Amino acid sequence: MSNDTARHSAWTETERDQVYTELCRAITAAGAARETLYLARLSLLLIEELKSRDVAIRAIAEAKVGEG
Amino acid sequence: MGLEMTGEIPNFTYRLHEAAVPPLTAGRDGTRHSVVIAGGGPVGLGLALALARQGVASVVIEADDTVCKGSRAICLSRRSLEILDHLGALDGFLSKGLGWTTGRSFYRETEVLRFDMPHAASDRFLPMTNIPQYWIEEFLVEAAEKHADLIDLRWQTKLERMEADAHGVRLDLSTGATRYTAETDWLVACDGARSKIRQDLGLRMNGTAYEGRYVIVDVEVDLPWPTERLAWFDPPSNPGRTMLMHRQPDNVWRLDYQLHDDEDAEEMTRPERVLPVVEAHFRMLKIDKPWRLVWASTYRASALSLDDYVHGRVIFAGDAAHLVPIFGVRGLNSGFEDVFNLAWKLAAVVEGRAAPELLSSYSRERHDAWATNVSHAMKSTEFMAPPSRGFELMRDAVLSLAARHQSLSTLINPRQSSVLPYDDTALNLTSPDEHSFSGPLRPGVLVPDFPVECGGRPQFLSQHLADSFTAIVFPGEGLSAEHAAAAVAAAQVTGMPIALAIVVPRTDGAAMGPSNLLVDAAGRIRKAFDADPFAVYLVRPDGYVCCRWRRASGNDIAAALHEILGVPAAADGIGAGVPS
Repeated sequence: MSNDTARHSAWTETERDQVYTELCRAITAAGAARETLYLARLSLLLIEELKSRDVAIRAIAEAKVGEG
Repeated sequence: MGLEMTGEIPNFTYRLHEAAVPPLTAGRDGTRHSVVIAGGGPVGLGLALALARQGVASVVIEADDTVCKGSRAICLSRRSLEILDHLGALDGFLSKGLGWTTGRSFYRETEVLRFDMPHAASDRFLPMTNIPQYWIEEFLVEAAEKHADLIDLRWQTKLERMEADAHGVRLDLSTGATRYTAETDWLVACDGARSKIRQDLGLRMNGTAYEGRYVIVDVEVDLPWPTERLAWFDPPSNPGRTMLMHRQPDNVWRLDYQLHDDEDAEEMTRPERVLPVVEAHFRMLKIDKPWRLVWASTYRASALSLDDYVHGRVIFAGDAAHLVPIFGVRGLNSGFEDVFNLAWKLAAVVEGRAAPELLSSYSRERHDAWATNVSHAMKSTEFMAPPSRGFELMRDAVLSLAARHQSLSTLINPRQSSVLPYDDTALNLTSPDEHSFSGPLRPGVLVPDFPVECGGRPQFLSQHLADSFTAIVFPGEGLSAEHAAAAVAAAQVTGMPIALAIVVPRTDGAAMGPSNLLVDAAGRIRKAFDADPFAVYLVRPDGYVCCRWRRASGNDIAAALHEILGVPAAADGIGAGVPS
């Protein structure tokens, strides 16, 4: 899929860093009581962006805690 | 820093230095000095050596009678070694220091990152070298003692008071019971993080006083392990802590760990609190060798800087000017870069070859470097010591995934110190040819090092770029080495020495060329410089590119020097018939 390739090749370490930091700040800002809901909402939005059943199912399995 | 306990250091003897008082006339040092340096730590000693290389004398004021008590800064960058070479102090660092290139990080017991810093077999130095600060200072003191004609090192001398005006600084000094005054044209404050001079002038540092506190511990133990950076996140030995471990010479190992918010720094550096942490860690690593505690101290991480490093006749360098967080080893390494940036400029001003405004480029360039260093160091700090819940949660997520998802491990990489370009400085000049060059060696970039052959012997380009400006010339047909030498000689009208380095693909016939004829047999320099025949690069005494031309006459080079030094061309008569 050429679209995917283009998107991935543009993903630099710096960009990963920037997004990571932004996410850390957003979780802190959400606060302890709402961080789980915040992360659930974020997951849904990212899955919608992904538009791939297989990739999403694989990520859901990989993210299971205790198997890292 | 401050709170610390010290045991006997293996294989190191402290030399105690006599108090030094100059000849006094009615309580006054009879000589008015050009430069007094406050602080005989690595930055102050480095500056005295760098000034001596420029032929400028200085007095170094040091309150103590010997070098520092603990290992403190232990990790020197490749760039620091290049600078130490230019200061004439390299040998000890190479024979004592332990070079390294790799690191490994563990989450609990799983290895989650293995990194290898960029380096090539042909590089002169490894990216990082571990050596404790007492050795760093001792080697610099030894080098300074060899320059006794230019470096007046006054041990056991305390700065009591200072008074600065537009022309210089008056200092009240004390040595034991003797008090005297001294006068200097320039005072350079290299008096560390808690600079008395900075406080006396009422100068504020700006930035983030990040509250991270770390215990740093040296342990003597004989381990047959390689020199590499080892990091453990949340290890079973010390749950919730981040532990760092570095090898030092003479079987000394450094352990660093962050204090929790509720832990008292003084309490936590007591041997009875340090020993269990080390013991648990060594048990986890299955270390069964005997070991003992050598030194423990605390370190407080801040990202603070003065806005300006030059205040009239008082100049700040190193920790006195700026502070960076601990991760990535940018503290002392940026201190050495300060010194090397400042020395040639201050020397040019002292000797009347440049306008005092040249010093503002020191402040501008090094402040920009501090800001970039902080942004890199903060990234590391936020990962090593998460400042809030979001950073903590996400770090644990990254660490638990990284072993199976390699791409995430870039987030764990500690981003060690690297040389930064000076992109925004008045010393970068744009020649009419600038747009025609491709490649990264634009004005403001440090000239990277390359192997060369000189006089039949293998050397490095960096060895030919120091003390003065250098014109790197790539001869072409009809432009011989003699022509290049004549052009550069014509450029010397500023009174500022300028050296010539001629880069050739081969020496024609004669095996032994002149000492500035550098053979670039593999063509690596020509390629990196995007240099066709006739190209000329003007390089600063601290190794950064100022200007590049496709072709340049002696007049072009001289005009560039005049602009950089801030002296009008007419005064030297450059317009009046200097041959090109």
